[in-house]
Amino acid sequence: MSSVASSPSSLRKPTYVVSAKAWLLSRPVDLWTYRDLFFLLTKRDLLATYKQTVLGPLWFFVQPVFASLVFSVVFGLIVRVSTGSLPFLVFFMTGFITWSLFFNCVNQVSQTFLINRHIFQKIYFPRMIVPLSQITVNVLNFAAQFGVLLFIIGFYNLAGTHIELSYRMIFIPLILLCLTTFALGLGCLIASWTVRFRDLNMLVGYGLQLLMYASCVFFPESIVPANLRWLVDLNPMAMLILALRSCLFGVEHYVLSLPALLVLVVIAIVGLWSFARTERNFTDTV
Amino acid sequence: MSVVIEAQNISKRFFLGERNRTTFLEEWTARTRDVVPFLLRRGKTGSHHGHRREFWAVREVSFEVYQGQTLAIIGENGAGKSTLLKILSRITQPTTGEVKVYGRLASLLEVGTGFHGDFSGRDNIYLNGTMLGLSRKEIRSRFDRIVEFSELADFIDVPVKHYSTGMYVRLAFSVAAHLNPEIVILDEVLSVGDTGFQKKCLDRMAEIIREGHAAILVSHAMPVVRRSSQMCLWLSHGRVVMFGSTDEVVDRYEGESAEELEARKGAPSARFVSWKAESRLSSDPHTISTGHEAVTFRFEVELTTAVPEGQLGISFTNAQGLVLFSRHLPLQERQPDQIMVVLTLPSLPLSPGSYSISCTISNGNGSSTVIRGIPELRVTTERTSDGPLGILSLPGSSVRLERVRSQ
Repeated sequence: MSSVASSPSSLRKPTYVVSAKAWLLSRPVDLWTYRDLFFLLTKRDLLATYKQTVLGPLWFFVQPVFASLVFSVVFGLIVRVSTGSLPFLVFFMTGFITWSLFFNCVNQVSQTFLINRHIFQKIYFPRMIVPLSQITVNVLNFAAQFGVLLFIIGFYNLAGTHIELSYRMIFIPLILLCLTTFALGLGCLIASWTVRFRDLNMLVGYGLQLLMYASCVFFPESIVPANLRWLVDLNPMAMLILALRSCLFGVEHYVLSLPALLVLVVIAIVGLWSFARTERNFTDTV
Repeated sequence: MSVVIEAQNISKRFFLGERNRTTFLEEWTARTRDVVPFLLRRGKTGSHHGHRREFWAVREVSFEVYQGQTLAIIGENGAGKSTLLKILSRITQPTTGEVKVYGRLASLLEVGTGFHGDFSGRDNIYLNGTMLGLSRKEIRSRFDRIVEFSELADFIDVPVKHYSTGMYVRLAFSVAAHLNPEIVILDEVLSVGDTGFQKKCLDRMAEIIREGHAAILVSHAMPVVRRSSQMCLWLSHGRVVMFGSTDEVVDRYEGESAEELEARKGAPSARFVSWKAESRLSSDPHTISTGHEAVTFRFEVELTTAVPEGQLGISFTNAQGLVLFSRHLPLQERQPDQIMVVLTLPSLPLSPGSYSISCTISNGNGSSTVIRGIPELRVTTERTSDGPLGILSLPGSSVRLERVRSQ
């Protein structure tokens, strides 16, 4: 307040400027100004997941294990996918929790504008706070599930099935950074489109399901037929899941695919760009 | 005096029709509909954006607000007031122009947005507060005052989904009232809980303005505008009709509105001429003394259109917008002329204060017009024992103590 009272207006810097020429509605520096909102939203969403269910946090651990058991039966015992030296459960669970992280991020980020439109129509804050906090919540959930995975691996080792972990595990945070960037970009891109076309959400559900089958979640890279290789080479998620398994277990020596990396970067940039564009005017159409 | 808001040449364009088309399928049908005739008529002039009629909600608006000043924005519904506020508060980007804002701006349009039912009042104060731009530290230092203001101390750790609507709104408003912004935006409709709490909110608003902060007020009530703002911006169809001192702008607004209303189809039109109250105890025509004296009101109104069949209504409203009393009078076969409406009341036992009088003329088909520019009614009292509490000041009422006999 005191800063407003003193100094003539010509010398003062405006707190903010709303301009038709501005490319961004919210300045990136506002992300820092509103950091407390980010923390509280993250906390709220974390707690909200656990408050709703009877089993509470337990669900979070039961669900991936259960799903991985189902996959073990279908893909391991019936389809008989080769998972090398790794037990089915460990192999599938690694793929499944990584895919879930990606799927949940994209799914939630893509609904940012629709779900929060009542807030966005009334209050200003950098809209990007919402997707960022959703992604953080999902990463924290992933960390918990990853802990369960390590626990299961430890259990296997005790039971006599030797599973070796690789020192390259230290690269996993880097992989997660790439994964969340990709999810954020794709989510933002879809979020911008769904503002105009509500029915797109349905399409996105199917699209992501198809992408899952092209992302080596349930099978190693080695069984992909040569004529479908391009699906894996161009798919950032296949690259990231393979890289993660490779870093964790030292199996499937996987080289980063340059085309997939390019796709990742392009989608991230286009996604963030459309988000910024939508943010400026979306209340006019929703 | 330093400027706190500087708006230059603000415009906002909407595309009509865009809002309704929300599915992919519809978009493609619409596109084909545009593109096919466009291809067929290639070379000819004509817009292929036929369905996207453009509409300027705000057009070339410029104004400044200085520190310690209250600016009122007036105009008919749809004049662009809310769009302008949305631009100021960074909800949407203008199509042209630039606004510079110096200091934190808080709009009280946003009361209670972002509350989460599963969380306690405490959690929601923090969440809502940070959403409105406070830091957690700032909220912590104001927390006790917020809770005290909301009168919800006993329920602060209860999830807000168990709150009544009134409690919910009270909590939300208490957060908004403690933002300590440099600039406040007040929308007219402040329907916050019970009348007692409403008064508390209005007082708090007045206090914020008195502390020297700037305010922007959107209102249809001209007495309120005259009383609380120094500058006034009159918008019509998105454009500035007049920007200047409140008295000048409101005088012209009220003078011109009669002709403007005439243009509106179907609705009857009338102009306020004068009114006076005749009572034995007061000589001022707009002041009466509360009590059991009979009072006669004489309203002179000029009908500027013929009213074949309809009615004229007069109502008294208190400062919080509560209608206290109203009477209707049927009108038949009225030609444009001056009419005098005489309303006699055996007594008008109102508490001392200011009351607005509104007069409405409606015709048979349901369209009606509010006659504007009616000066307020002041009610005074000689007896100091009539406290200012409550709506009524009942004459002849008494209160005393009586001994309770115990055996």
